[in-house]
Amino acid sequence: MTATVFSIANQKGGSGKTTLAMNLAAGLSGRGRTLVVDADPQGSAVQWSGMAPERRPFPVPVIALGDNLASEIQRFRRDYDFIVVDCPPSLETERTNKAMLASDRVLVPVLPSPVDLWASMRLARAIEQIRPIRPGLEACLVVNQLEPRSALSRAMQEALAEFEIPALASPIRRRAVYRNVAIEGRSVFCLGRQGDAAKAEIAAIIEEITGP
Amino acid sequence: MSRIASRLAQSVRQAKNDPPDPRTGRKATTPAGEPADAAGSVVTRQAPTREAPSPAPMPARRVWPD
Repeated sequence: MTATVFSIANQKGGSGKTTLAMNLAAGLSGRGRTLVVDADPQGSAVQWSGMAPERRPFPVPVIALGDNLASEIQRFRRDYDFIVVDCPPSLETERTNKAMLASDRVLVPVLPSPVDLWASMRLARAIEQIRPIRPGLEACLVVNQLEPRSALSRAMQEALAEFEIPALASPIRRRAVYRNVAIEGRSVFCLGRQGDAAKAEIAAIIEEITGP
Repeated sequence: MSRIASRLAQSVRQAKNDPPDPRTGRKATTPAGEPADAAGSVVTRQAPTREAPSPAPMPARRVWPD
């Protein structure tokens, strides 16, 4: 067994890294053994899973890793099918670079806002710099908190075309359920019908990133 | 392409082609594409300062009969 490793990275805070990591991991757990690595010193992913009651734990184990991130991820590759790494909101520490070097694919959540797009450009450059050292590293943007009625959201397509890395066809819309599940230590896959739209969004992303 | 889409794409293009120095935060050009000054500072356009308008005169207080 050799896991596929996804890093969720963006040096901009509040772009939705942990939300994407946790829901993605929960969705991937339906396809194989999945692990979440919390590489963020803020420990948001660990805290998220800790909110779950004992009788109904988060469906995926979440562990915090620090300086020996790359070697530990390599070690866990043997035991899992999927590893999702929640990166810190910074490029100043080595953790994001180490996580990306140990990954097969980097997912970059971006909000439909100019400030977020400008900041994400820096990560896109960092990925380009890593690629000679980590050949085969794939990367893609994931549009997060899309509001189809807003002019900025509709304007995203042209702006995304300026990036060297492609954007997934499946965006994540701005929905309250993504915030609500964090409070309960759950994922959108634990919800009933109220979570159907969110489930479909995450499932579409999983289809895109695991497809041929 | 709508005006907002065009401006957004242009701003991202500019962020790509002229990134700020990660240590100093300074850019090589001004937002208008002109070279920055020798120190690398970028002076952004600011709205002209105006004198604060004088407050509107208080209306005379009406005294209502009891």
